[in-house]
This record gives sequence, C-alpha cells and structure tokens, in this order.
Amino acid sequence: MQNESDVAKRILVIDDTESIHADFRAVLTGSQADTTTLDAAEAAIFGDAPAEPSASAKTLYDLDSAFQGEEGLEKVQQALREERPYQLAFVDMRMPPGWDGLRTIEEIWRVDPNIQIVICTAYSDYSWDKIVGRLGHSDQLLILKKPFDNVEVEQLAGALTKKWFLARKAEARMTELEEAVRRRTEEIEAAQQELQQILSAATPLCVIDTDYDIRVINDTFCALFGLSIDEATGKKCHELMRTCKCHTPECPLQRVQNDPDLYQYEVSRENETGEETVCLATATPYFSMDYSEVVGVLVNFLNITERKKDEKAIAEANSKLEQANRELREMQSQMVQNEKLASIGQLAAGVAHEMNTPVGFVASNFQTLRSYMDKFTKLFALYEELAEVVDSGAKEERLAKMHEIRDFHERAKIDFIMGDIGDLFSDSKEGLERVTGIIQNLRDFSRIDQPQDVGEYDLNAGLKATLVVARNEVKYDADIQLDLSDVPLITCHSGQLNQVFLNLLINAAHAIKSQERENKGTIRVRTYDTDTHVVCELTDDGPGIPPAIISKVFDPFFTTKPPGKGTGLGLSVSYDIVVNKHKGQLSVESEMGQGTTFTVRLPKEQSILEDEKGARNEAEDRAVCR
Amino acid sequence: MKQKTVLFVDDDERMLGSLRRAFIDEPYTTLLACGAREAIDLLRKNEVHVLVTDLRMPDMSGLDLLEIVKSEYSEIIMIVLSGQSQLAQPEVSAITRGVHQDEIFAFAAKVDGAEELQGIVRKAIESCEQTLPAPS
Repeated sequence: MQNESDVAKRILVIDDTESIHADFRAVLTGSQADTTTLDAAEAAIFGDAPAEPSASAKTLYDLDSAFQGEEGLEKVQQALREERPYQLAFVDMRMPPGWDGLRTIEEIWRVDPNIQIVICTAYSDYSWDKIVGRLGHSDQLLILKKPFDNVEVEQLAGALTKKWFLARKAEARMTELEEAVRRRTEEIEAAQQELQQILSAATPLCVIDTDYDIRVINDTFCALFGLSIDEATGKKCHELMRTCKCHTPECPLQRVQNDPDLYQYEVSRENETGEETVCLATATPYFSMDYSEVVGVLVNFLNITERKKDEKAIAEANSKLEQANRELREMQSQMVQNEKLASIGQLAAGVAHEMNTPVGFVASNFQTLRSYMDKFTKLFALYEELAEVVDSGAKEERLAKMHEIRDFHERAKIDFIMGDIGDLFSDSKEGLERVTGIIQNLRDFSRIDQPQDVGEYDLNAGLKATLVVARNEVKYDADIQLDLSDVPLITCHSGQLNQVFLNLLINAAHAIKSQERENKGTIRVRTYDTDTHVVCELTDDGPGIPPAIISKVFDPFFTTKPPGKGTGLGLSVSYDIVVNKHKGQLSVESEMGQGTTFTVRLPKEQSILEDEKGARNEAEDRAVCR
Repeated sequence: MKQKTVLFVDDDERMLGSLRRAFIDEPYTTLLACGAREAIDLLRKNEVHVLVTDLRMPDMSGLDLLEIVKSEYSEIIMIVLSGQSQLAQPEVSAITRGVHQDEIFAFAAKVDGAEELQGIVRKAIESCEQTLPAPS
C-alpha cells in the first residue's frame, strides 16, 4: 500500500485556463517563478492576496495539469498505469471545446473510482441536485466556488489527499480484515470439514440435550439405526432409541446429570423387517462451554449385534456341548450299568447252576417225602388193622396181618426210609440254606450304584462276598488262596468295589481256563495296608498278558474274548470305579507264561465321597419330611 | 429178566442223595457216581444201561464224559440232567447235535425235581428193553 509519507501527493488540475494552473501551483507548491505574470489574474480570480502556503505542503504536492477533460482522463489512466494514482483532481466545470466538468468526472471515476474530486465553478451551471443526479451521492466530490480562496484550496488539497490516503488505508485495512476473515472462515471451514469428516467416520454417536432433543448425530449413527439425517433431526431420543431405561432413573441422561461419570448400557432397535440391532451405548456427560454444568449427554454406540449373535451362538453351542456331555455321562453310567448287567448275566449261568442244584434236590426230596408219607400212612393203617385183630381176631388172622406188614415193610423199603429220613431233612435244610446264601450274596452284590451303598467297607469281607458269587465261575478252573491281613475300614461304594473284584476274579479264571491246562490254576488274593492305602492284589498263574496289549487292557471295548463273550468294558469300568470314583489306583503287571497281578489301591481317606453322603442324608431328610 | 442199571453222575453228594431216594421204588438198579471219573470207574465194573449226568463238574465236564461213553459204551442210553436253565453256547450246540443224532436220549433240568426224570428214565429203560434181544 502506498504510504502517505513516502509518496508525493499527486494532484491533477483540469482546467482550460492556463493561468489557473499557475495559481494552483503557487498555492500548493509555492513555485511562483513562471507564474508571476499571472499574479494579476490570480488576484482577480482568487480575490485576496495569496497566503503563504505552509512549507510542508509546498514540498509534498506533485501537481499535474490537464487542459481538457479528455487529457485529464488520459493523465489519470497514465497515473493508474504507473501505479501512482492521483489523490485529488480539481476539475473545472466549463472547458470548451471538450467535455465539461461533469462528463470529465464521470469518465474519470469510471477508471479511477477512488480519486477525490473538487469541481471548480464560477457559475451555477448546474444545481447541486443536478450534479448529484448525474454523479450520484458521493463523499468524494466537493464544489469549490470561484473565485478560490487560497487557504480553501490548500485545505481542500490537504484534507482530500489525506482523505484519499485514509480511504486507501481503510480500504487496505478492510481488505486485510476481509482477508483475515476469509482466512479465518477458511480455517473454520477446514476445521469444520475435518471435524465433520472425523465425525462421520467416528463410531455412531449422538448428543442429547436436557430436553431429550437429539442435537448432534453423525453418519454412522444414522447408518446404524437405519435413519436419514433428516429423519433423526429434531427427534427426541426416546423416539429413536427405546430402551427399558426410558423414563426411569436409569435413563442415561438423568444418570449423567446426577453423576457426571461414564455409564454403559444396551440399546436395541428393530428395523422395518424386524431385524434387531443391539448396541452397547456409552454415555458421557456433555458439558457447557465453561464446563460448569451438564447440558446433555454424549452417547457413543458400539454395534454388538454380531457379538450378541456370536455370544448367543456360543451360549447355544455351549449348552449343546453341556447337553452332549450330560448325554455322554448318562451313556457312561448306562455303559457301567450295562457292564454290570453283562457281568451279572455272565454270572447268571453259573449262579443258576449253583441255585438249581439245591433247588432241584430239595424239590426232589420234597416229592420223595410225599411218597415216604404215603408209605408211612399205609404202614400205619396196616398196624391199626393189626391192633384190631390182636384183640378180636383169630391167631391165623393176626399172623396173616403180621405177614402183610412185614411184606409191606420189605417192599416199601421202610428200613431204608427210616435210615434216610434224617438225611433227607438235613440235606434239604442245607440246600435251602445254600439258596438263601446265594440270594443274599446276589443282593449284596447287585447293590451297585445306589448312594446308600456308600459307607464303611471291609475290604476282606467284600472279597469274601464276591468270592461266593464268583465261586461257580471260578471253581472249575482255579483254586483260590486267600492271604488276607487286617485292614482298616474305608468309606466307599461297596457294590462298585465288589464289581471290580468280581471282574478281576472272573478275568483271572477265564485267563486260566483259556490255557486248557491239565491242572487247575491258582488265584492268590492278598490284602494289606500302607500308611495311606488299603491294597488288594489278585495274582493268577495264567498265560499272562502280551506286552503289546497290556497298555490297552483298561481301554473301553478292548477285549481278547471272542465276539459275544466279553463286553470289553469290564476293566475300563473297573478302572473308572477305582481311579475316578474312589481316587485310587488300578495297575497291572504281567509276565508271559507266568501270570498276571492286578493291584487295587484305595485311599484310606475318602473325602470325595463325603459329598455324596451329604446328598444322601439330604435325600433322606426330604423323604422323612414327605 | 435181569434188572437194568441206571448210573447217576453229579458232583454234588446231596443231589445224588436226592436221586437215590427218589429212585428206590423204581424197577431197576441205581448207581451213583460223584463226578465223571468215579462214573468211568463204575462203568468199567458194572453193566450200565442208562446214564444220567450233570454237565458242569470240576474234574471232567459232562460233555466229555458223554463223548467217552459214546465211543466206548455206544449202547448206553444217555440223559443229561443239568443245573443250567440257560445253557452256555458250546454245551447247547453239543447237546443239540447229540439230540439230532439220537445220541442223547433226553434233556432234564434239575429244578424240575425227580418226578419228571423218573418218567424219562422209565421211557429210556423201555426203549432199552425193546432194542435189546430178550434173553433166552
């Protein structure tokens, strides 16, 4: 920008009268050298003697002259081209033959609208109204009536050039301000754009004011809830997002107002097709500018629909797994039960034999007893007849009867019967006892998975009971040697452990039997206790287990017996009972051709079974209550 | 006519006792053997017409005994008296095979008592009298 102090103030005088130019020059620059001749005219025109122009003014003005309007315009244009515009032009009103003052001013303003103009006129050629009518209201136009007053001219020049510079300065300042504003606006716009960009890319969010009006939302919010910005604008929060917390103290807005802290909750919304969108909303307080009060709530949404679905799917999968697990456990218990039944079924033949023999001979004896009774009855009748003839009959009659009796005695083998009847009773009694004993043992043995079965267990007594049940299966193939030491009672499922011992005994017997040897084998049963365990060893002198399969013997369904003969579950169920149910150990050692030893170790402290005992007591209590 | 002889084989003395007393009135001689080996002894020493044997015995199984009798005393009528109500597989098949070849005369169950067995043995004796030529 041109600086007032740096540049000469340029003034253009446009007047068709040459002397006038000299006068202006004299007044504004103090240069009178070649204007002295004009002094008279000047005096005539200016009236009073020219006042001495101030020293400063004289050095500052750069005065140019034009004698016609057209020439003035050219000079103005020239000055503009040189970028040394005039600040002020004094324009005469009448300048024949060319443009008059008004036309000149019009033309000049057209090219240089900033220039200050003073119209010099001696006549009232135009009224002020007319001038204004032609040129419009302008604060850049003054009228100087001829004759001029020097001081007036000087003051006009000073004031108007000053005004020009001030106007430029103001203009520049304005431009500067506008530029600043523009720049600021641009910055703001950029910031806003940036913010908008961030906002639209940010997680779905909205700001809700204390009147529940939605104030700010972003694109992702709209996308999340399937809304357009228009649809969402001006809505209340509860119109867009219903939660079960609306109109309750749990309303996030109310919560953050009461406690300006972060707060999370779930929001769901159904679209037209009934699809549900579930979001995790995080509400944070929205403060006033000075952070003095909470004026709303900013809610951030995280779409957890998929996560929820996944969670649901996982939960479902989980429950399926649990179900499968339950079924598996049921199957396992079924398997155990089946194995129990199988092992009992396996025994059934043997036990049946064991029972059928005494039942058979008792039944037979009972039938025989009836025939004995018939004979006794007959004999008794004969004796009665004899008694009658003893008193009244003839001797021959008595002898005949005696003969008949003796004959019957002989035929009916009464002597044999008399000698045998005691045996008949004792045999039958023994047979019935045998049956009772077997039934008792079977009953003890078959009590397997019932909770009331948990209790004090005498290992030696359990083994003996099991041996009774297994006797028939074992006795043809092996002799049993017992080597039982006193062992403390332990808490356990006696039925389950008996099943284990039965399994091991029968396996040992079958192993011996499989050898088809001449002599019976031997199964040695030994019990003892250590500091922590009671131990039972069952050793057979059978063929032994090949090393290749010894690691598999506890696997479910592993069997060396022909199809249909073994379930393959005996040892795996035994393993489960000893190891899992009783926290004991079941191990096997074998040497080919020498035999096999199975060792059952049961902990003396059976804390694991206490729970079941408790459960049983509860069950009993309930039973009592009912 | 000479009385026929029936040999009962069982490993249980009391079973044998009940058979002995059940058959005292039958019109034939009864022999009792406790176990298969004793039975073989008695067979060597006595002329036996009908053999009634248990199947499961510790010293030798009834089936093995029947095999011996079949090869050495083919004229003896064989009857099985078993404690099994449900026979083990090989025994069933062996018995079925035997019955089909008319080698085992009948199968009786111990639980049924002696009356049924008496009837079976009587029939066996009758069939024995028919097949054997009458003594001159």
